[in-house]
Amino acid sequence: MVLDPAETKEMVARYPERRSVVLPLLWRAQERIGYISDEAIGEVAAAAGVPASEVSSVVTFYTMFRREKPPARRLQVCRSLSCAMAGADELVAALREMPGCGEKFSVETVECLAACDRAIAGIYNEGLVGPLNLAGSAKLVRDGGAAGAAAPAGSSGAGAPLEGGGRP
Amino acid sequence: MIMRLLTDGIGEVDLRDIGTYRARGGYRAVENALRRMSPKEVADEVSAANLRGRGGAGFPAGRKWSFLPGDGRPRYLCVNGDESEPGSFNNRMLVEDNPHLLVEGVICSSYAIGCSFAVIYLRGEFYEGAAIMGRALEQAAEAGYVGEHILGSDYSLRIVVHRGAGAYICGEESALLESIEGKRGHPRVKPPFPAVAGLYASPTVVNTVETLCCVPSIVNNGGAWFAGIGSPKSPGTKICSISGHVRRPGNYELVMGTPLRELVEEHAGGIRDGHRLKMILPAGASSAAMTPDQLDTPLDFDAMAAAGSLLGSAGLIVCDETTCAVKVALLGESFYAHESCGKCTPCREGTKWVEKVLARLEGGQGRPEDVDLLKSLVGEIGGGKCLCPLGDFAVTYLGSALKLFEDEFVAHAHGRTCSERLQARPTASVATGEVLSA
Repeated sequence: MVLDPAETKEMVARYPERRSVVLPLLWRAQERIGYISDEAIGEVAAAAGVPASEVSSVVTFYTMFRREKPPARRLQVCRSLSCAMAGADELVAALREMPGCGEKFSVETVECLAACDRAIAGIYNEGLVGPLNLAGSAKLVRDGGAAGAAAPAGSSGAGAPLEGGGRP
Repeated sequence: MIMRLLTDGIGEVDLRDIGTYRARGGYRAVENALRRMSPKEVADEVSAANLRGRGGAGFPAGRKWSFLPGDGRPRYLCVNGDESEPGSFNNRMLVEDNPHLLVEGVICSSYAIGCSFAVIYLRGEFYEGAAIMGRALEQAAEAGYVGEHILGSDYSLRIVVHRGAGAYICGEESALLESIEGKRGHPRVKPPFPAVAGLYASPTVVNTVETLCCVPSIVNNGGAWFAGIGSPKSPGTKICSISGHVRRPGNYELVMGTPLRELVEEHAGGIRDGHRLKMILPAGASSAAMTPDQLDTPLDFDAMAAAGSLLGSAGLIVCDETTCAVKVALLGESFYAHESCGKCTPCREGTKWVEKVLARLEGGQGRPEDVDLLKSLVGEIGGGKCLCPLGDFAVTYLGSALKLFEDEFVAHAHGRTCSERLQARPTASVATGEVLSA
């Protein structure tokens, strides 16, 4: 059993129609075991009242759902315009040269994270990080934990005058 | 000119805390609406305000609301917080740093349209934003602003946060509805429009985060007051996200109609040292490039359209002279090729063909006929050939760049690349051997 039945019941009740619970339950399953297993697909399908094949097609449509357990440390680097202009390609290439890449940690690219003011932006496990530089991100994937090494995201208002709505 | 209507207090106080938010006049709009106004009066003020949708199309919110048929079916409000346009990050700031303003806007708007179930859809990557919004909703429920019999009235409203899971296309309103219904994010055939058959085939309003955040101040101060701010045909403020080769990238809330030059040169601090402006993509990757001679264009929906581009969601990407126009096209096209949902052939196939041609141009393997090939592909993919605008978006910048910077494309088509120019950019990621080998 991947999902907690009581919690599932409560989540289904939040929506006027059952099938809306597909994405929330898939997220819940991924939070619990790190990925979407066949068992999880079956449980979500039963709870949402849709065929398992349909849940499976939903899982493969959305890029954030994984069908395999990821490494403990995952860094996703934005490759869209502003981050590319700040050198995202070179950063990714350099990180992928590091020993342990693909086994102990993974370095992936993602599309725009809506954090262009922090280019190069990224997601480390489940938190927004940036601006990333090589030293900070290398420490992050090698040692994990201290996201501070790569300049933490924190409140987006923190980087005055970056996001404060234009304080002088 | 800066005017902090939606961003007031951000960066100064913790607006995530409902006590702080209320101490600054927060939730007064809910009290004003529910205690002193009928739903129709709230909707009338929003119509009088001429509040135009901040998601990009600039469609008047009041008119959108007026399309809902009164046939007894339940009505729904869905908040579009799928902000995914490369260059745009203003909704993320509102969600993370002023969540109660959105909750308040959702309550007032739901009351106005007669809806008792609203969904705040946030893109999956907003991990922190979803948690913040969830806490804000809990606080609002405890304070009696959300739930049964709000403020002792007959009006009840439930609000849920619904997370996406990585799909740009879900920012398109009908794909967003599919996603809330637990399906793949494929756009629907329109008509019927969401106002007639939206969520669960019921009348539905979809408005973006920033649009709904404008509603509380309209309720408090009146539509006429809002209509008097900024450009007469695009009133209010717009939070402009600016990034790229400027000294101070960030979000700046400006009165609509503020000249583009003021944003770039004053607020964003101008182009980085020693460089000069080459072009601006004013509405992110999907907009036609603007050039330095257009810096006096007012930032509002109509003026930007008249200048041949788009205000959109105001995610401005600024490029200096080291930027290769072909490389920008490739980066944009790779994005669209990746994000195409695959439903319509011109978009699904075309974005990948364009990406392939641009990749060989960029890589120095261009062919002389490639420039004409790209021009024809722009026409084959764009021009409303797909069910949603993604197909058009995918070739808008390219079409403009082929006109403005044709010489660069021609040079690439003859085997010359600009990559050495791009090497000149200041990357913070300077390799240090010890880090790599450790």
